[in-house]
Amino acid sequence: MITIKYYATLAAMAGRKTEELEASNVRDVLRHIKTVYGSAAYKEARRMLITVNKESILLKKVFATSLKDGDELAFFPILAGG
Amino acid sequence: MMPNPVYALVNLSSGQVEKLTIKGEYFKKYIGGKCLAARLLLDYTRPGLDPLSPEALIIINTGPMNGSGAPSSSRFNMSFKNVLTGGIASSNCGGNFGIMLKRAGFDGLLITGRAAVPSVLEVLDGEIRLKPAGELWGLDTEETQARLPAHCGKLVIGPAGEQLVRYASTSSGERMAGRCGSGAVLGSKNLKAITAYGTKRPKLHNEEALKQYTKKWVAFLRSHPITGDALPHYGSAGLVNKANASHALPTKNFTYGHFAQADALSGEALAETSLVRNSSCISCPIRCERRVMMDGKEIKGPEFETLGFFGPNILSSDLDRILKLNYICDLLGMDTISVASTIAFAMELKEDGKADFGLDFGNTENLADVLGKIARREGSYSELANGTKALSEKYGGKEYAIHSKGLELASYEPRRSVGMGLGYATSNRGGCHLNGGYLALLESVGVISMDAQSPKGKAEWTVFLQDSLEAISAAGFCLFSAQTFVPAVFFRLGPAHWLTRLSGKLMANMGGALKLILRSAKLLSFGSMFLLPHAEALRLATGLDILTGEFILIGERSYNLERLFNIREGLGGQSDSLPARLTHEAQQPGHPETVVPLDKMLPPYYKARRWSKDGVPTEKQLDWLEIIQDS
Repeated sequence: MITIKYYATLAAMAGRKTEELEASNVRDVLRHIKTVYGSAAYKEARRMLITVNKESILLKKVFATSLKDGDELAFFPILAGG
Repeated sequence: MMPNPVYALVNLSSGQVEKLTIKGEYFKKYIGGKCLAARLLLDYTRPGLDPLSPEALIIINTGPMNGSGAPSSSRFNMSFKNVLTGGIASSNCGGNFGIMLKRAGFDGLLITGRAAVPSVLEVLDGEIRLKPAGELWGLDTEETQARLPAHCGKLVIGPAGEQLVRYASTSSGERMAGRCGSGAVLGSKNLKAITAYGTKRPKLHNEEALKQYTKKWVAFLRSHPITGDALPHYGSAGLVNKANASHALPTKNFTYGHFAQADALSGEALAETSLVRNSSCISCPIRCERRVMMDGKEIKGPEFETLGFFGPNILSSDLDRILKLNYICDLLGMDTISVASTIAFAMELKEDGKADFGLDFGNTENLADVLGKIARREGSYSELANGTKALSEKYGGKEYAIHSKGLELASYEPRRSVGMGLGYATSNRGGCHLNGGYLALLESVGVISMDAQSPKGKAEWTVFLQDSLEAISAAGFCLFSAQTFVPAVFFRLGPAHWLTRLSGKLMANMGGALKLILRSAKLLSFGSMFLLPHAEALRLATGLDILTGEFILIGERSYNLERLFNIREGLGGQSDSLPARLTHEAQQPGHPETVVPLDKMLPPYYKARRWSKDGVPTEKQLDWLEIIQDS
């Protein structure tokens, strides 16, 4: 089981901040978001910063990144400025 | 044309006040703020001065845009000999003091000498008076301001400034000129506060055109995902999770770059648990300030740096505690970055068996008390009041004393953002991300990412960004207004999109193009809302012939002037350094690339700056910048 965490606009679109899901890679999770929360949520999710266990997966094949039982997948808004 | 700036030269020892008008040539070349101040510090001070001696000069000045109504244009500047580094210091602040100083008839104050007793300098409609203020001595920044007339712009120090804590800050309202020890300089001059009040309106060259331009610019800022959405919603605190995910969040005195409990300190957590509303400096549409509740009182919330340094860097995830420590630092008048970083260093000294100040990683119970003791220089805590560098010189641990030139680094771990490492090392005021060019934005915490471990292109980008940010500051703008530099389309595509990734790769290959831009800046005679919209606003406000190229050139001139000051004070190329932990210890074991390859980046940096191999501006370069003939 994977724990999904939603932040910012995506949390509002999903109407929840967290959920648990069976998924073998990030693409499975995105597919779930599209099916359950709609295309707008899916588009929003794709353009957010995606982390697995609090690590950016930008240096990996983002959407094909595989997931294993107990992983935490999070969608953060992209921010800058400090 | 905007009239030439009018400054007051105030000698606190003699009580003498002299008005001086900045000559036209200086106004055109150096415009104001930190750039003009660097020129004046070189002109008016001799080398080798103790920054806390009566003879030392502190310049508190505005830029031409302060009070113009342009977006994010309320930042005033303080320049002086850096109390922590011995080189140049510039520190700016978004409080209302700058605008009120202008309304009172002065674009800047040059303050020297030492008042015989604790005093307040009162600037009132063109007149300046020094008044004794012994009753304010010892009060915190909030209480001090509460006792000064409500209608004035105020600039005050707290107990830390009075006690010459080397990183003491200065407050205007709840905004701080935090870095480099401006509060200690005012404290050394027995100056508890400066008040300013006046009714003069700044004279603008083309007020109507500026108004129209401002409308367009504000609409642009509000339409951009960063300045119109992310910063208003999360402030700089929103960076915590992003920096953590990129391993760029300093953890345990920069031992690591990732903290498992970072989420508890994030902008998102802050928004959910403590945020009351957001707020802004005068004339700023971005509204990044967090207003939070603490013990039933609404106060200013912490910035990213404070969250990082009172959080992961000392192994704490206690957000409520951070709110409190942030507030205490503001009351005492101390820079949160330097004090918290010094505390982290002291914690590691204890772990390393070198010194024991009763400070332990993960234990924040006693920190509120410790901050008070540092600010009042009680007992051994007085040593912590001198900063990380001084502490390392006495007790050792230089390899993990996290500073550059003596100023503690900001909250971006440069081993996962190597261009930011180059910026820290070359920043004129010492280890500062903003003065360093803030390349972390294009490496580890933004939407577009160049390869964070590669030195490729980093030297040229650092020079370009350092110069651009320098000019923005000198004009009186907030640097956040430059965040629209990254086109909105990339935020709509997201960081994982192929076009965004490709852009990151292309940017790393832009070194040659950037050098060309910098060398032909005099030919860039266009204004652009996308690239440095500040230039056109400056042209409309002043009437000076400043477009994009000249604007960048002002920044470059400023950077070179500050460098000249540093070299004069003994801080040349040998001081462009970082502690060994960052240059020689891999952040991730088994990954030797996770260090800052400073030796590989400095030569191309000096080359891009057209400095000598030792990091000294050449005569040819100074001549090109039209600096040499002033001296």
